[in-house]
Amino acid sequence: MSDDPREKLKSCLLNLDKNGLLQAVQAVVAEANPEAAQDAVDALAEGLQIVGRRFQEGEWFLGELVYTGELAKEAMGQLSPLLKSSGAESKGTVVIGTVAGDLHDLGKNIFGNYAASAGFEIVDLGVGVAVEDFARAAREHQPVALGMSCLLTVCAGSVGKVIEELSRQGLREALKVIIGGAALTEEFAKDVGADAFAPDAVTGTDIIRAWSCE
Amino acid sequence: MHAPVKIELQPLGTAAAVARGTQLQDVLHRFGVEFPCGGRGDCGGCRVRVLAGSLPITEDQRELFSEQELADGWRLACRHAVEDRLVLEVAQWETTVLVDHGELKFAARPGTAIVVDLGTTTIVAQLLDLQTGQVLALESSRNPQAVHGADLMHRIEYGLSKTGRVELVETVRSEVGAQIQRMLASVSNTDLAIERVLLAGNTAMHHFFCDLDLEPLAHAPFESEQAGFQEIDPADLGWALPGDPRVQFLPSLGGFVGSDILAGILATEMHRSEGIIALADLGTNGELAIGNRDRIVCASTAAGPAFEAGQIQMGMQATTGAIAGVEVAAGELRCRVLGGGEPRGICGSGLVDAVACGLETGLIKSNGRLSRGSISLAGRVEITQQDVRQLQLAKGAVAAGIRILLGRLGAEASTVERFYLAGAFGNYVNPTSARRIGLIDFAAERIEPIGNASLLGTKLALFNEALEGDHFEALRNSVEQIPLGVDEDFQAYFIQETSFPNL
Ligand code: B1M
Repeated sequence: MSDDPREKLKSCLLNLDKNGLLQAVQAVVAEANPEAAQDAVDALAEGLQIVGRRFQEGEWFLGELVYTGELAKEAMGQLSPLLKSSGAESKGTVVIGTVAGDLHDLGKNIFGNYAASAGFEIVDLGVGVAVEDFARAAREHQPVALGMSCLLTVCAGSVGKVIEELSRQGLREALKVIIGGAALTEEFAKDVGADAFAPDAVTGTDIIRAWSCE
Repeated sequence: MHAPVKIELQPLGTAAAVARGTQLQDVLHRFGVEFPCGGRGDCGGCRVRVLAGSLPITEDQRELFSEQELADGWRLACRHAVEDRLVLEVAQWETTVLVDHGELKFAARPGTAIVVDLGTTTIVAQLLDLQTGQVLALESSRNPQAVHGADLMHRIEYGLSKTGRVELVETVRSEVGAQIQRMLASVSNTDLAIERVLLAGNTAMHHFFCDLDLEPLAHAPFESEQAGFQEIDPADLGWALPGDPRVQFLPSLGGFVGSDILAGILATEMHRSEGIIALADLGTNGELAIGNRDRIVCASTAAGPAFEAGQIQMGMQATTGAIAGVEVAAGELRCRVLGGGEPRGICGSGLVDAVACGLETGLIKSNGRLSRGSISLAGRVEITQQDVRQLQLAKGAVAAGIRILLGRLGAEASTVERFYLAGAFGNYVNPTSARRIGLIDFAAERIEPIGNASLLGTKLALFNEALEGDHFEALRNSVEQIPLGVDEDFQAYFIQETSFPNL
């Protein structure tokens, strides 16, 4: 195996090797070099790209998706103080939640983990989140993006209501809206005026990452 | 060679002309007879007695029947084809109760009544003689509401508008009404008076039939205040029935767990058992109840359509042409096709078998990954990676639900005395395969198909309440519903259970 710490991080993540990954992260942290920390973060992001591809191609399933998401989030948690100390900006805050009436939270949680490991601050409002609570969080946290998850077709109407409420309160322009979950589609996103639909958590993370680079 | 032959089924007097050589199983299946072991000749549930004509004794039947029984004409319907004119007595239509512990005790009284199992997919009704406990007529038809979605959630959504609700309510009421009329027309006695019509079904079907507000069923926590016992004036249903019966719907247990499971608890006698009994009815929703006379817990877990072969590339219902069973023989996959002809697709039990075989032969890894693009079964029928993924979600949700319920009871899978599988899928699925994929982690000999537990229990409710004080309302209050959506452990268990056991 290569000695390159970036390669090591990536391969540990892809081999689901928690100990190896955390050791590699520790080694980076010990160096106390913000540049090396940034390299490590990039390596994790590359690893997650591959995870996403394996999931989309059916090679991996939920178990691996959830586990790698947790690993990456933990690694990121250890690296981020170093990045912050060097004055590197956070990519911004993302508010997430599952819409009113719906208690499914697995997809939302996975997305939250991935977004966190991509360097976003996550404010998770939980499940069954009322329209007004999404709007309040948008006001309080001034997020770069607001993410809604919905798996029940009967609850899909809430997605549009949240977007309307954001507009009504003059909050819509300042942020992007991303939605996902089995009850929603690309077309639905267009209809209700969301900025993007994410078929899976990794794609969702790519989308908000691209937004933050705009 | 394929000239039709006449076959007559007693005691209902149903008759049909079928092509010579047709499997008896296919004929009886059309008339609502259930094949608990899926037609493998294991269980004896499809027993028939030859009243006229003949069915040659096959060797394997000697194990199940005594010499005397064979001499009396008892045979397993699933082992025979129709070669000549036949008159058969169908045992399932004779006995009122299929549960093994004890016969039906009932207070015999003159009169007739009707029981209905109002299922999301199928509606089954029986006309009963309250004196003898016998089934006088039987009807089974597909729920015509399905045009507004096979999925209950789609139907509920449709029913949220006023016109949608009226349409759904009327569709289901008139279908049950028509079933009743057909049953009455089929009996020779023209001056029957019906005393009572008793229905059971899940909470959504209960609300449709009783025309109740659907809004509480459209969002969390899915609790309706009106889910209790309901009585409806037959005039409001647009039914004109002899005897002016009381029409009543049994109460739901909470959330989506309906009176079908309440009836199932009665049918399995869980509420009286000392040992722990489990009951599962697996469709797009997995309805579960586990417990004994001290405590019973229940839950509804979303499984998705995989057990009914929905969203499966070559999925189809368990009818002629469906691969219903797969086994490994000499390293090859061997398929059992319903009706014996060319395979056209795969049904839920076939999918479970196929995946179990895939795990055995290494074609499928424990994380569900196929070792190659797809697995060919027979003819052009194959299963894909996506099919396996759908099954993983369904089985994960059910297995996680069972773990949560056992945890609440402080029980272990190994202490469950009997695991009853109700409903169509439960009837056909091979217990060994169900265990191999980790759907139900119980020894195969403790898993038992129970058929239509809802209908059975509804009959018990009808016959028993006066006699035993077994009042369903009291039972209902003692059963605790566990909402899985807010359970702390569900998610972790679900993820673990989406994988297959690594043996
Ligand atoms: C913001 O940005 C983003 C970006 C990407 C995002 C995103 C947000 N959100 C999701 N993504 C994307 O990323 C993830 C992967 O990368 C994906 O996330 P998903 O969330 O889609 O996928 C998850 C990772 C894995 N998938 C899941 O977790 C869902 C799997 C299934 C089996 C399922 C489960 C597990 C559950 N359920 Co529910 N459940 C079903 C599902 C059926 C199925 N076969 O799919 C479904 C969704 N459930 C359904 C139903 C009806 C229900 N469920 C209910 C309950 C439950 C459980 C509690 C048992 C459990 C949820 C546990 C939990 N804490 O989440 C009930 C309602 C509870 C409630 N109030 O919400 C209940 C009403 C039924 C009941 N029996 O009580 C059905 C909805 C039907 C419909 N048409 O609306 C259902 C399709 C099954 C079915 N056909 O019966 C992407 O969509």
